[in-house]
Amino acid sequence: MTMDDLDKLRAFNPQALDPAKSVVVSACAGSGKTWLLVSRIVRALLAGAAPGEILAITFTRKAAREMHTRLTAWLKALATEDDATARRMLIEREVPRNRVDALLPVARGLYETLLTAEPGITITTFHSWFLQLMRRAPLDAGVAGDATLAEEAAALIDEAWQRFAEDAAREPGAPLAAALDHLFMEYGPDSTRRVLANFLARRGDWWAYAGDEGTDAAIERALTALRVGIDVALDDDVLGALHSDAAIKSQVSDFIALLSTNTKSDAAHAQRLREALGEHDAARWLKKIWPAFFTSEGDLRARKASAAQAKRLTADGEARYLAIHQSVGTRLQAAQQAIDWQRAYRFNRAALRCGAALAQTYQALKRERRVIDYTDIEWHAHRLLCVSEHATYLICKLDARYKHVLLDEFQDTNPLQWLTLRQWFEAATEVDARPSVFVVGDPKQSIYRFRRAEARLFAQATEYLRAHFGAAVLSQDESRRCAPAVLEVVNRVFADEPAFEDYREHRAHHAHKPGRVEVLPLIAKDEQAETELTPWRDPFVAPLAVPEDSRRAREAAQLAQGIQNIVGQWWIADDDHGTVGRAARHGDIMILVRRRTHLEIYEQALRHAGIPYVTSRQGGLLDTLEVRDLIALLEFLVSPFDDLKLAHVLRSPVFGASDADLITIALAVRREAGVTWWEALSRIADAELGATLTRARRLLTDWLARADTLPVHDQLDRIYFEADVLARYHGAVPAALRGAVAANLNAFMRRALDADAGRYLSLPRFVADLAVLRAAPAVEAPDEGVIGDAGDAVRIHTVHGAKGLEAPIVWLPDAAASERNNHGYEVLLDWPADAARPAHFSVWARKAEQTPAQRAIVEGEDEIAQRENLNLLYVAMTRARQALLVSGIEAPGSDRSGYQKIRAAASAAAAVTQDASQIVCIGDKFDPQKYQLNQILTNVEASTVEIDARLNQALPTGTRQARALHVGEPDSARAGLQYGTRFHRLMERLTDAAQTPRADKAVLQRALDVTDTEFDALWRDAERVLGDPQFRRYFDASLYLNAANEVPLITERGDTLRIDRLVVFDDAVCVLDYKTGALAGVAPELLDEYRAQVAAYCVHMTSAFAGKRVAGLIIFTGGGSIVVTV
Amino acid sequence: MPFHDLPSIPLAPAALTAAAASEIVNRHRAALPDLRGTVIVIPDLHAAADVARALRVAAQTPVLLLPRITTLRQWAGEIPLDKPLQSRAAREALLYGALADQTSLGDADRWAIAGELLALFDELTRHAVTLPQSAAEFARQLERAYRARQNRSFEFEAALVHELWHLMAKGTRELDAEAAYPLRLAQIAATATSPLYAVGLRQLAPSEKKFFDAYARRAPVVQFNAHADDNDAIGATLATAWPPAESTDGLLARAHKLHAAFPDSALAQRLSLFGAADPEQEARAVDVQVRDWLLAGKQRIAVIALDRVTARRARALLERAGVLVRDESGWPMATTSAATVLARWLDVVSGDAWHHDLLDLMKSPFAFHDWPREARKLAVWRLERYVRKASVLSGIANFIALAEQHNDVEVRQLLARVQRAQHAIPRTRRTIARWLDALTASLTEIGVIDGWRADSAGTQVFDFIEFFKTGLRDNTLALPFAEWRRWLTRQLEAASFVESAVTSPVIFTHLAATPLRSFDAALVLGCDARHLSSANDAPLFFNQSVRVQLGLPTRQDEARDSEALLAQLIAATPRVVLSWQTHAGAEENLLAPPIERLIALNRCAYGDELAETRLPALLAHSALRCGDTSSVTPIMEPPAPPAERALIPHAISASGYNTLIACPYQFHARYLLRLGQLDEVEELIDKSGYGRHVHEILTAFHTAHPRVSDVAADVAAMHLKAISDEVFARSVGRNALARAWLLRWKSLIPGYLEWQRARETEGWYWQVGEAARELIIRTPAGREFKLMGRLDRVDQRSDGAVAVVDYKTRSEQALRAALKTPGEDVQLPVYALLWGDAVAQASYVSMDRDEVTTVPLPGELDAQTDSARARLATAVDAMHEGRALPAQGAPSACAWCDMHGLCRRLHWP
Ligand code: SF4
Repeated sequence: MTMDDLDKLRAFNPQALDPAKSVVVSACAGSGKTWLLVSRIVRALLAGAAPGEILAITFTRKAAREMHTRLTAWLKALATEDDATARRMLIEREVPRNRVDALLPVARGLYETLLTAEPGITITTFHSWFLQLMRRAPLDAGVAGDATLAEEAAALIDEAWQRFAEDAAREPGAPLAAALDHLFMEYGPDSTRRVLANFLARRGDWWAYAGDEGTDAAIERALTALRVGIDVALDDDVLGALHSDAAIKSQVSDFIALLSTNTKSDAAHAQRLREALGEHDAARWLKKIWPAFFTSEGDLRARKASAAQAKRLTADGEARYLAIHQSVGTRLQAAQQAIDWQRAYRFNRAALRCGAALAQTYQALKRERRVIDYTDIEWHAHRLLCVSEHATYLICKLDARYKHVLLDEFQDTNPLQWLTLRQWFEAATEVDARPSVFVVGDPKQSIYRFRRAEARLFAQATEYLRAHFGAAVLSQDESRRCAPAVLEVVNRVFADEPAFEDYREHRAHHAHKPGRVEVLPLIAKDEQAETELTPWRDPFVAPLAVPEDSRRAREAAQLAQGIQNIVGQWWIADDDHGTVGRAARHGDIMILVRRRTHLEIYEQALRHAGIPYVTSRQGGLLDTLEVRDLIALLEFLVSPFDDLKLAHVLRSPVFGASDADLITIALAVRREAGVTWWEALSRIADAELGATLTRARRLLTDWLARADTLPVHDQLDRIYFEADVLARYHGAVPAALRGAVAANLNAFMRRALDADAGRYLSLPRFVADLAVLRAAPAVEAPDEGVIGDAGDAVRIHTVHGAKGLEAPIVWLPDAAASERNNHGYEVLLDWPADAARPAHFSVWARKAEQTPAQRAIVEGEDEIAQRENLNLLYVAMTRARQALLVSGIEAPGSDRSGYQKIRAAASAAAAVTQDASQIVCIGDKFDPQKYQLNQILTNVEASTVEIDARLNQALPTGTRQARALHVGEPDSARAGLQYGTRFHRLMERLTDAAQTPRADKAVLQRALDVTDTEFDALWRDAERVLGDPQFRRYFDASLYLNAANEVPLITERGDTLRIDRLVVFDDAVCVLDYKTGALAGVAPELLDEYRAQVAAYCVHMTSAFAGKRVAGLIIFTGGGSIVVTV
Repeated sequence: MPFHDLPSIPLAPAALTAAAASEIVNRHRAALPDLRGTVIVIPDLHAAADVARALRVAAQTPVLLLPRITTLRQWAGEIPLDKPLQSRAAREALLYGALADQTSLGDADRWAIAGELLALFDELTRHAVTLPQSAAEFARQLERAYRARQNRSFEFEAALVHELWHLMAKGTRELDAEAAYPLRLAQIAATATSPLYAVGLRQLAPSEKKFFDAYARRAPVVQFNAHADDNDAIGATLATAWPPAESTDGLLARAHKLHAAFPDSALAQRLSLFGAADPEQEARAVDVQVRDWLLAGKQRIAVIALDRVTARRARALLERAGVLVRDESGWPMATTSAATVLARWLDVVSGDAWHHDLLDLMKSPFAFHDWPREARKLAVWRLERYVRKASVLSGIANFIALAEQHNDVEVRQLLARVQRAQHAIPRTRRTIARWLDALTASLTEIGVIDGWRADSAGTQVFDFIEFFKTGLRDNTLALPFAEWRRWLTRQLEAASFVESAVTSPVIFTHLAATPLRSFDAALVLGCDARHLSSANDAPLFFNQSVRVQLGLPTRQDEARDSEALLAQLIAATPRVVLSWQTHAGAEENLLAPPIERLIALNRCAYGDELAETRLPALLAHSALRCGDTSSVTPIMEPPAPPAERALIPHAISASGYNTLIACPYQFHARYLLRLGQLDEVEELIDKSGYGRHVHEILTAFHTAHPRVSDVAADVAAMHLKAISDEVFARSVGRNALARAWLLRWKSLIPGYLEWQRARETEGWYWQVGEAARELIIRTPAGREFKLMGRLDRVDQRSDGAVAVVDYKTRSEQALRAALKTPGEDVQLPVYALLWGDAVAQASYVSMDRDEVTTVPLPGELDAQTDSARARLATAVDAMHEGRALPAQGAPSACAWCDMHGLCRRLHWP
């Protein structure tokens, strides 16, 4: 490190952390961006900002949470640690030394300030911040409501697609239907759906492009732009003109003559040209003559002069031959080009129209369902801020008034987000003090173009902030993460990379951290084994061996072997100098792949080697076998005639049926024509069934009986418990999978639980929803279960998914794979970083059909795509703290791959010459002897807690009141119960002295909330009781001392009881109890029960009213009464 | 929180209930055991039983006639009014009606706005806030509070609130519950005679304060409130952790003071914090902790379920162990299966009986309740099979036709009822009450009402509907179906279902229901920032500073209140565990701020973070398992079952043969076990459906025109198109998207005809299509089996030579690759074999995009057919001799195989 570097470093933090200054920081991977950003928040708080005045936006919820947790932890330390520690923390964060003492009390109070602040600090993502804005939007913006966020849009999109097609079909011949037909006819259903789905994904950009001018005008504008540079009229019949061009015809005839006297292959061309001559259909004619002039790649054939040829054709003939080739070739090419452009134009005309209509349908559908998605949120936020009154409203309406805005991972921002943010700044400037802005990011780590992130924004935003906010622009190239050895290779790979013109050499913060880079030789083709596959292979003995798969399998085996050599052998530094350490564990290793395509082969190798691993497969939960087992089970419960599902469940560890068991059932099915597997299984004689099938039959019968009554989660819970699912999987899957399988089973349970907490779920619906989700793109389906700290397993990620992660050891397998091509049928967008809306919006089907206007943009895009590929490599390499391992298989294009770049760099660093068959290795050997064992980690705490064995047993507790009714009981019982309650309430109203007079019946009926007929019946019964002379003394206030209804009492045992009516006389007390029905109809046992109950009341009253006689009276609403005495 | 000048007795928070009870009993010793003459007002009714118990303990009599123990709301609710009360639903409908014509609201959800407005108006009434007479003045007032300049949007908000507030206030004919409340309270106070005790009330509304003052003028009123004094360690600790308003001391200073006053932590034995790694662990922690407490003899255990979802999981785990839980919070009615059947019925109505919805409805135990359960289930399963086979998507008439086709009387009966029920729901605008009438009529028809009556949640849903019918009888707002449905959905989501049949020492409840209750132990579930604060649901109207200005409670007040509730709970409960998830998925979680402060305080004062130590050990070493823990299956190696002789098929098709080559185990599953994927209802016609259609079209076409060159080009094309339309008609009629495949095919027609002509030029003429053939093959061991197949097409040349042709929708390239290694794809050799001797050529025809090309089988045809026959014959013998059928598909085979679940490939070691 030079003195210059040191100076820079010293100057860096004080500037970056000064909360009064706006700053843009470009910071390399592992440089501690989060540290910087959170420190800056601390400084802002120290400077007196209220938490509500701070807005920090980052890219994922995970990162936002992490920042918030870190902030809380630091402030807690500042509040609770000793003075020295607190001072040191302030100094590290560049608080001027002379201010430290003065600020110390402030610092100590920040923790509680943060915790109690109202409004609190906002640390969030763009989407949730936008959502917050939307929720607080002014009413006249027309977006108010409680729409829920649809995180899974696949089903909705399917539905919109369906509706859209139906709408179009309803008006055949209308422009929309014509456009859709054009697409279907020319490009087929799949590609049509593809281009329209892509349009839908970019509909926010389309709206921005369209602005306020309306769809038709926007389509017109887009089409006009496509015409630039095209010198052919769009409705010209280019082909027809070509076909009927007499000059060409005669040239071709001439050419045929020449060709036939030339080489053998030319003679063949001549033959085909001759055939073409009579072709009336222009398109077929062109197709036939084309190969005479062009190669299959579409290039003009190389036809050159040669002496031999001149001899064959004569000199003049050769000259004509070359001239015709040239001139007709050029004509054909130009015509083909013109045709392609016309196609492109028509394609856009149709696809933009359909896209806009589909988007409209989709929006309408979401409005109906009251859901919104991320694109809507972004768009609404942007629209809100476009109207200045609304913008002002929003700024005032939010409880928080931001004075400090911090933006993290800025390279991942998309144009609409940045535009919206700028609108916010501008509106804020109008009503408020403008905030200080802190931006941190790294253009080198921009890898989310597919999610519309725009790397070019970084430079643009820097400019904007410099100009309008006087922002300082800083860069940070010191990695706190990577060991020097890793950085050396990183530097060598990228320093001279032309696409990385802004690359600055990275320095290691921990100059002595041990590190290592290994580049394994590529797995080469085994020529002999691969050339000829065995014909007519014996299927029972030899499986089909696909060469590429077997090469990959070898690489995977090498990976597994490599990991086995690392675990327990290599030493992982626990401190930054590498002096204290421990042996490597599985959890220290992260495998990073570009794509998941071949992941299964690597996983298989790991399983085979017994290496525990977890794949955080985005959207993978539903594809894991264990979860598919359970889905199959649920599907069987929904549709028990589904034989395959039943067989699947039986084979799963839930039951663990053997092949022989399945054969038993299959034989039974064969015996009885037409039965399902389940019917057959139900009928097999007990003696014939083994233990496994007996158990399966018993459990499945139970579950089937409950399938339509239990909520999904409860059903699944019973299944897990009664079938001992977790334990059985634990036993039945390879050790390497145990952790992952258990996590996935839990995650699936959670899925059911969450779904159950949603609305209107039934088992069939749950199962149907899962089917839709399984078919949905990966982003939407649920992720595999996350394994807590408990799982010591190798982690497998894609590079995209590894953003923000790191590991001591990173392995990049399959690093020599070539990059993927663009598929076509995509949206092409040009949104200049500083523009208010896109300058270009179009779609393209295939490369050949791009118009000149599109080509220009595509070239720029290609450059970015290439740069992004390098970014991916950069991100992958810089995840490694200590060791980076790289491997791959030989494949076409592998010489330009990341593998080769790393290999070249490592070879240079190791100063070895390239020998492709050798391993290249630099850095430390991670020799165990060198390090000192980390004591803390090896101290295993012994548990001293005594466990009550009864915790593992059932503990029946509580009772469920034998509900009077179960499904299937007669309705009259339920009605009786309700009637009773209402009668009580009516009597209470009619006889309570405190209640207003006997009020009118209407009031009473309203109070009881019953129908007329029911009320009449109640009223009749009440009248009968009240009118009965023998009961008069209990209801006529002049005849008793006092009386009360619904008298609560509590007994010695703590039971609370309620007496229907308690009447107190001079010398006696009477307990009244109302029962529905007539005395005559009551069963004797029930009567005894009633008597006992009232007798108990009387006993209690005897103790309460000492000296008075106590009696009970049961009055039946339908007539009759009994006296109870004690 | 003492109010006004009424006598207030401060009591230690830990013993608030008991102390208040003994104070009350002491004052009425003479009347014992009859305390009926007094009234005790408490903040939440759930505490009534606890207060009663405390009174009895204080009274020490065998039985106690209880005072009226009630809340102010409950008490007031019992007072009759002389004016009718306008239901909440009616008011909401009124507001909705007023909002309906507000065009500036654009697409906004008016029901949601009406709901928010109603809540706001109730709040304003409760806090006795009145709005200025002039709308402009109100707008100015708001703008001041917002610190904003004049702004159209603010003015709109102000005008809307102002106008509707006055509109609602004008409806003097009826009262609303919130406005009636003060009147009712006043009525109680006006006739007061009983002594009144207020225990632990928090945050009184103005009308309530007024009530106590008025009451006190007629009868004695005493209030009891929690108030820590200097000797009360736990009270002081909690007060130190959550100091009132702007306490000047920092955390450290307060901690030191606390330590000085109480050298030992009052929390140490009482409270602990458990951080769970994930939701499942937290739920298990609740389960194990509750059972551990039960085993330790604790009688009253509360789980304060801040996180309802995890609580539900915990409840299921407890029930596994036989521990029933009394759940006081209940569930949203919308989550019950009783409400689900209602929603599904409306889906059926609005979605023209979309097959998923229809089957789902019919599978509900509530539907067709008058039918025997098993019979209904069997009938529905039959229907499902018909539907899948025939791919009927929707339309009740189509389903009925299907039932008739199958002569299934029962299914037809059920469907006819659905149809009648559908007719009961009209498509015109009507009032909510009339919509509900139509709804119940239709549900009666399909037996759902009967089903509901037999179920407790069902009864609640039914009552709920009846309740609205009554409450909205006079409402005249006419709504279209969709808007009415939105209304109904909102109501169902707001209502909750409480099952009250359980008696148990274990109670799940919410924080607001805990004050004054005594528990032996309590677990607070979900102590993270998300669950213990309401920061996320900002009201639609106004913001916090406006609320301050108007005199409405703010979020700060809410936060203070939940601190007070927590403090009471912790003080009154001898053992409290706070649990939370340290991670939510892959994200870190934040502890709720009050808990953060409490723990930090204890650490500063006593150096202890209060981490729960026992629970992790309990979790690690306990596992409740079902009695049935029968032998665990061993790890599954790749299976290779010996072929079961009795199951070996006597006939093998070309695709069966291909399967055998690709993976013998797959062959076993498919052709020995005879398992296959059931038909799914084809919503979008897919590639295989497309293939089927094309085969049908071409066979029909060539049957009519065996020699296409004999027909004029345009005539041939026209005819082929007409046949195509006809064949596709059914699919297109069922689903507009099928048209895409039709058009796709039509665009291929010229190419196809050209190819066909070229073929005829080569001398090949179509001879037969869709030809089913069989061949008996004798194996080396002398067995016989049948080889069979359906040939797409056979062409013949004038010399008698025959060509076997198979149409494929795959690309030429893919087909060439498939045919590259002899013996991997045996379809063409098998077809050649099936046809017999004269076959000179066997080829696929690739019909991909707009090209039609021939892909001939490479190599010597005779040699290929011989090898194909020989290998299969040997294989059949091998199977009969019990050869193992190993699972060994290459990745390309596995990708298309449905038997993953049987071979268990992904779990092989
Ligand atoms: S998944 Fe693969 S291994 Fe398993 S049965 Fe199917 S083809 Fe065979």
